Amino acid sequence: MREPVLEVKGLETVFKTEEGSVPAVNGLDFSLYEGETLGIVGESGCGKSVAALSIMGLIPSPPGRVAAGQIMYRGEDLLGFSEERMRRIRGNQISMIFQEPMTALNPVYTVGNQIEETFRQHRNMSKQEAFQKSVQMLELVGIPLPEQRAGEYPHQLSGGMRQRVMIAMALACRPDVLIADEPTTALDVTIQAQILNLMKDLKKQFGTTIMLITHDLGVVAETAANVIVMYAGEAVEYAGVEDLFNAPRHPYTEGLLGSIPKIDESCEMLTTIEGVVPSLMDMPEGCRFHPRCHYKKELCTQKAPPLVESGASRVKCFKYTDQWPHRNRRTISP
Amino acid sequence: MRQYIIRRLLQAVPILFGITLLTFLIMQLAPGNPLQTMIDPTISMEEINMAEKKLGMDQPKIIQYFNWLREILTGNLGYSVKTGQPVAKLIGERLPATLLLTMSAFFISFIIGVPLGVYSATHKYSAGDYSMTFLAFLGISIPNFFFGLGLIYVFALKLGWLPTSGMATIGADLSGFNGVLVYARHLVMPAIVLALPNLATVMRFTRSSMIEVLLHDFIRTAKAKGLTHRRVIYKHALRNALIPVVTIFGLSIPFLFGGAYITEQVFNWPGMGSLGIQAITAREYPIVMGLNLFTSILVLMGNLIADISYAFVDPRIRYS
Ligand SMILES: Nc1ncnc2c1ncn2[C@@H]1O[C@H](COP(=O)(O)OP(=O)(O)O)[C@@H](O)[C@H]1O
Ligand SMILES: [Mg+2]
Repeated sequence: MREPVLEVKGLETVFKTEEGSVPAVNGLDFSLYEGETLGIVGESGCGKSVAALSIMGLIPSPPGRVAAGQIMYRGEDLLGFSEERMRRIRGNQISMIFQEPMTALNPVYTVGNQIEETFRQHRNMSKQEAFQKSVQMLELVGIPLPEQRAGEYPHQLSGGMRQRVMIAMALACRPDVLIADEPTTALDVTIQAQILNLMKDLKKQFGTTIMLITHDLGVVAETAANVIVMYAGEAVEYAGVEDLFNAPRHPYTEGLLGSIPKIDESCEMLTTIEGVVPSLMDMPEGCRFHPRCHYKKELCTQKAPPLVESGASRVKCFKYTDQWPHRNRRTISP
Repeated sequence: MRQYIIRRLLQAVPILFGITLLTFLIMQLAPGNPLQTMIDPTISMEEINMAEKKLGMDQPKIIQYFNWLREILTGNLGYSVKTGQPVAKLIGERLPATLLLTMSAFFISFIIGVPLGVYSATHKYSAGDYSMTFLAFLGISIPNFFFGLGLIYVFALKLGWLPTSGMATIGADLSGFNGVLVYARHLVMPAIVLALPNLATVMRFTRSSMIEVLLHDFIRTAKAKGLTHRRVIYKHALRNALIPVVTIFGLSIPFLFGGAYITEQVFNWPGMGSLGIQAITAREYPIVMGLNLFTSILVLMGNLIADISYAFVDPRIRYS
């Protein structure tokens, strides 16, 4: 197996709220391997963005805090880095793009200026050199008339163009890792496809490792090789993309797949997962998914399921352990 | 951009007319007419009528307004009732002193108020922030004259560091650097007194604007790019936070000219404010009206400058 570039171990990020401390990410583990595209899926509110911001060291504090865990980047724990050392990594070795291209760019500076400053910050370039590099980046992300566009302000560009600018900015210093947090969610469907294709192209060109966060399994199917399914602050399933779609293990994953519309099915029934992501304030005992799970047994309400292997996937569910009553022909009185 | 400025300038024209009309009406409403104060009681009615005719006062009000407007446009603001000196000349003599005072106060309030506001915002809820909030409220609520007298007592009478009043010491050498120093020493206290409430307002406004801007997504983007804290705050946040602060540019001009009336009186500063107070007590209507008109125009210009500054700081206005 290739070396992991980034290894997240037991990550726990909490927010102080008026009702007390809430864990938005609670014991998250995963590895990101050199050159791969890892998809992270889950309904909104599952802690995907919080996980990403924890890696970037950008959890707003207060109220947030990384309470436990390690984030190993090429063998060193980012959580132990000084703010200054972390700053040098951001935008340079690890970059991030965000969901809302409409608000993620500063309205009072030209897009050229906003790309330039990344070069100037990390590469100590002169103004002219940084400008030329920025124009090159704009060209690279497929913006027509890049020289002219560089002099324009964000409000003069469309959403898709702005997201291209964000990508240009994030890739300017050729980072090791790109964290893309719902990069296409706010865009039209046709533009979504263009942006995803662009990301795939650039990935091929630079070999960037990508962590692609989305709640859209369609996006994952198109781009990722491996997928993590997150639920209520933790990873519940790790799978190759083929396995995820053909043989989903976790009941939550099944539910997510059921909620994708399929064009070839004549009956337009959309199954959705009943209920909502539990509030972080009153997390259910045992398996966090059990209140919404069709397979629920008493066992699930009592203790948290372990992470077990099932085929090539790993899943946090009692169904795949030998404690599962069905398999063992043991019955537990209801 | 040019279009925007031209549009703003054109919009100012009707307002300017409104100001002259209002000033004229107030002048008409004032009791008595200028003749009554000029004549002696022995004069005959016939002679009064002749004088009225000569001065155009027998004509309809609307004609009188346009006659007056024509005079104003040629720079004639009328004459002092008592001394017969042209009002324009009286104001002209006092204008530099008032401009010096108000502009100093203007710069003090922004040059100090903005950084303090930024500090407060970036150190929200710290001891520093709380003390500055306290001082700001003190600054807004202490009356000008009280603060002024307090400063005079401490720095002029007790410590003797600064002169008590006036704009320059009589008989002092006012040439070159020495002159600048003399004026500066006289200017310090009145400028601070006049600036204080405005400074406090600028500071509070900058603070809340900055706090709001720091929550925007583009601040997170700037941090995610690995920019230094300094660049995030002073480049990305401040520039956006200043957009609403520019409104205070315009608002502070009438505020400062108004405040100058009291401050000039306290410090015996020979400006338009003390001229105004003297004119009001002496019922010198032409001078009061001249000052009124003049100040209104300055305020209008202040707002114009604020509007144009908006376009400079916010490209969304510039390009729409
Ligand atoms: N700044 C914050 N303050 C308090 N709670 C927060 C904050 N940011 C995120 N959270 C909590 O973390 C949870 C996960 O949020 P997030 O990671 O944004 O979800 P998503 O998976 O949709 O990206 C939210 O439900 C919210 O309760
Ligand atoms: Mg999110």
